[in-house]
Amino acid sequence: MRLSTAKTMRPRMTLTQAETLAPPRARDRRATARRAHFWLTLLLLCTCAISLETGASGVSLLSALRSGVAGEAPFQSIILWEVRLPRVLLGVLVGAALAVSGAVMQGLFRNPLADPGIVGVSAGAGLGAVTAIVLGGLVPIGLRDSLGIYLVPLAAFLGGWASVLLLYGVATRSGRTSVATMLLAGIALGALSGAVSGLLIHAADDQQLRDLTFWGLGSLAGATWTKVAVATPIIAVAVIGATLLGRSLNGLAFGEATALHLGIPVQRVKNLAILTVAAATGGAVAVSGGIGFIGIVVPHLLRLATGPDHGPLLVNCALLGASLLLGADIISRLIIAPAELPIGIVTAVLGAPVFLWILLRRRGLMDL
Amino acid sequence: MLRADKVSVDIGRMRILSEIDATAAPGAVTAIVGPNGSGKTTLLRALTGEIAARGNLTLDGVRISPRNAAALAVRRGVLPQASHLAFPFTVLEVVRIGHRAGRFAGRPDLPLHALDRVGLRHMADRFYQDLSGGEQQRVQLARVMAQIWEPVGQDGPNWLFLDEPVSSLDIGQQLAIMRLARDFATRGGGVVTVMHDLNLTAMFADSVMVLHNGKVAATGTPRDVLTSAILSRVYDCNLQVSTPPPHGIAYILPQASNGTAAP
Repeated sequence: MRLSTAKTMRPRMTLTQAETLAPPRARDRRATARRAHFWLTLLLLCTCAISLETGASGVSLLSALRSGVAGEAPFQSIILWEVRLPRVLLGVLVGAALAVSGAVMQGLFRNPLADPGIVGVSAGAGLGAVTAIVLGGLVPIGLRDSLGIYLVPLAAFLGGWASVLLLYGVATRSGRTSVATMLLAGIALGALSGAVSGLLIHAADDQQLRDLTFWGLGSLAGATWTKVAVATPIIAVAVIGATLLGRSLNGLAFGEATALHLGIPVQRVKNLAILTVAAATGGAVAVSGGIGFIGIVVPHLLRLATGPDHGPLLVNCALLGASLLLGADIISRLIIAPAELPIGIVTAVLGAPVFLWILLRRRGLMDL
Repeated sequence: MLRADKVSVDIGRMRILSEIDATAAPGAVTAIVGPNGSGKTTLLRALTGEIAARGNLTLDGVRISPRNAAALAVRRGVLPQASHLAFPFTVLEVVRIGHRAGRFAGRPDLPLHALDRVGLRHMADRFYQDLSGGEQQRVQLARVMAQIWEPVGQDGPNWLFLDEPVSSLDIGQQLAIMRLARDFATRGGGVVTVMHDLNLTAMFADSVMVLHNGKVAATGTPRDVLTSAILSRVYDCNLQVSTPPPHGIAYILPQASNGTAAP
């Protein structure tokens, strides 16, 4: 990422010397970031097509279309329309949500290591979802009926929201965020949420256990049109909301005081960012359980490639996050076919080394 | 006009500033000096609306408070003492963030001009984190200047609020940056700056406010305020201020102090 060594080593010079040299070529990452919108969209379309093509049954897109035209073999179209398409759409939604919530959280906490999965926000959202399934009977019947299938994602959103609020409160003092406090508080928060979730699952009856399996833990395997319908509004709102935060998060990178002096309504931006993270994480967790590391790998790779400007970064995160999750899903379906590997294993194998790499590069900053 | 009436700041149970009355006029450099812990930075943070303060604070009639952040951002820029940056922005990208917040976003060449003014144009593509402390300070000044480029805007003067702008610079850079501030004021803008260096203050300020234990100990022109009696009392050590004939600018040599505490 550094410029050439020769340039870095260039001795300090006086202004007159600098002026006699050719003016420096402003290596403009803004253009690169905008071009990336196009290439990442293309990548996403290709990944979607491959994902539609891949599966245990050997049905292919072309054969299904052919048989569809010929008006025969509903088997192929059922596989495509009822199994693979919802899975692809859910993968796109969840991948975009995970990457965007990671990027927004990193902007909010001014730290590239903040990730809903690592600092316990996903666990908090998971606790919300499990609570809704196991203790959902305690919700007044009228409210439960009007919420319907949205009860679980709503509870996941509330769980995630409470977690981010708590974490921000603990880790941030007078506008400065302590990295160590954030990570350690996140570990505690995640462990606590996980423990309570475990307790609730232990207390669940057979029907509730079936519901828990239906909502899935760390998997896209149970994708259905219902889940797509449930996840679409909440994740779409979160992703669109996030892309509006770009400029404000850039200002926030200088700290809350400077952001204020740049004319950014800091308090409102923080509230919006927290809601966005909670909605995206809650939506993703409600339909797929916690899938780790997408939120940390995708923003980090994109910052290396196109710079940290949150404007284009958040859009690119949504695109690359969706592609990466679909890719991981394809690998998890192929590697031990016809069985499936949990997708969390694939993302962890890809993501954990990247996390360690960031940690090593920034060791100096971590000694707080 | 910057007006502060009876501004008090408490942090916890500690009273940091008590009933400060202050004014600063556009077209002038107003310096805030005082010993460590006298409340200089706190006063600047109150004057920029960064921390809650009791009392009345207005900048050209606009009430200074976080709720007016957007209205204030196009009229005044604030340079903090040190800026830690969370993500790998380049120097030019840092300046652009200031540029976009101001009223001059329609002039895309401006960030490079701002870097020129602080002598760092050749570092535009370097990463901010790789720069020395002094260079980072100058980049931040360029960011503020790209936000508030013209000293006078369509609805009155613009302002720069600087917190020890030359604290980590060498003497050549100190003079260059102070001349920038001076120039901004001469062309009609307002400059309010916290200063540590009394000699630079004497040289560049039009008006000086001396803080001591959270109160205003003296205020006026450098010649009236930077006197042996006032400085010796405030800094709690015997200081000898001299004024050479040609310009009559006060200077303070540490060698001239006899090392004993003020009477």
